[in-house]
Amino acid sequence: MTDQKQIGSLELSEDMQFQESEWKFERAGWVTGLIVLLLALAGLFGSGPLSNAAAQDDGLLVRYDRFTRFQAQSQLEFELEPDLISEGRVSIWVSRQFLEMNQIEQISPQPENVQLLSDRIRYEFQIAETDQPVGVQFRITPERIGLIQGSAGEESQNRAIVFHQFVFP
Amino acid sequence: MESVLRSVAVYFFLLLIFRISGKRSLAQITTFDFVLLLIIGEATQQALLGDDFSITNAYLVILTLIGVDIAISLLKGHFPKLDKLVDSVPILLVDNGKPLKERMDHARVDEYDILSKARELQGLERIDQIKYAVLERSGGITIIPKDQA
Repeated sequence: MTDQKQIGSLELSEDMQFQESEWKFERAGWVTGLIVLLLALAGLFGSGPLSNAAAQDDGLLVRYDRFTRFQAQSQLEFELEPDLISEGRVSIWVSRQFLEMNQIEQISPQPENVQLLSDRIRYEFQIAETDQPVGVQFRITPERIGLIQGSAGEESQNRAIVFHQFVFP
Repeated sequence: MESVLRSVAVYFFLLLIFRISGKRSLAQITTFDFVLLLIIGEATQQALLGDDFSITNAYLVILTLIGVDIAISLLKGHFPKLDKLVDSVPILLVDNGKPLKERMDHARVDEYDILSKARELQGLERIDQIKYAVLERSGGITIIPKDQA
């Protein structure tokens, strides 16, 4: 092992120079740990102000998690203005690419109709006529690590809302 | 493949965390320290196994952890510098009945810890009966009593 020093009558492999550096390293480690914890509280790793994000395009608002963790619960929320509802129905679509990288745990309310298209999945909901914005919530769990891109939109509008998520392992 | 990667990642993270938390954290002085280690075990288990509860996964995780441990101990034999990095070094805390205050503060050991060990190991009564007290690499404290004159 390491060289034994002689201290009085004691043979000990002491190395105070190394020990001093080790203590400095310890302190640095504590500071780093504290910073990581504070960032986590702020939501850097999901569920917090840093990760709650929203994107809006006309009557559609999408709320998503900018940062989340692998196999942890995440949400994708849609808020639609009432003027998007026609004949008691509204359809939203989400890109297949995004849905393939996530597992859908639950959609509330339950869609009446689910259609598989080449690059997206369309969900049709039956909604009573109202003058308040309506919300649809997808509870999802990421199945992939890293940067995920997704897009979604409301069927009658020809626009897409693009969003990005980073999934921590 | 995932099992092996997870296990390696967890092993090195734990190694780093315990080196940063200091020698005394592993020493299990109080019942609470023991409980804390148990809880850490629980938190680690979930990360190691994930969703996979097969025997194969368990075997791979255990094999990887033991394997990395053996690899590191072999490397330590060849590189003394690595030995110090992974296992730390012992330090003298009491020199001929005189406690070395600054070192004790840095290591977060107080006189009570030393006296307690002195009673337990050597049946000593006072700190001036201690010739040498050493904080070992494991976080434990060993006592060498003064020769009975």
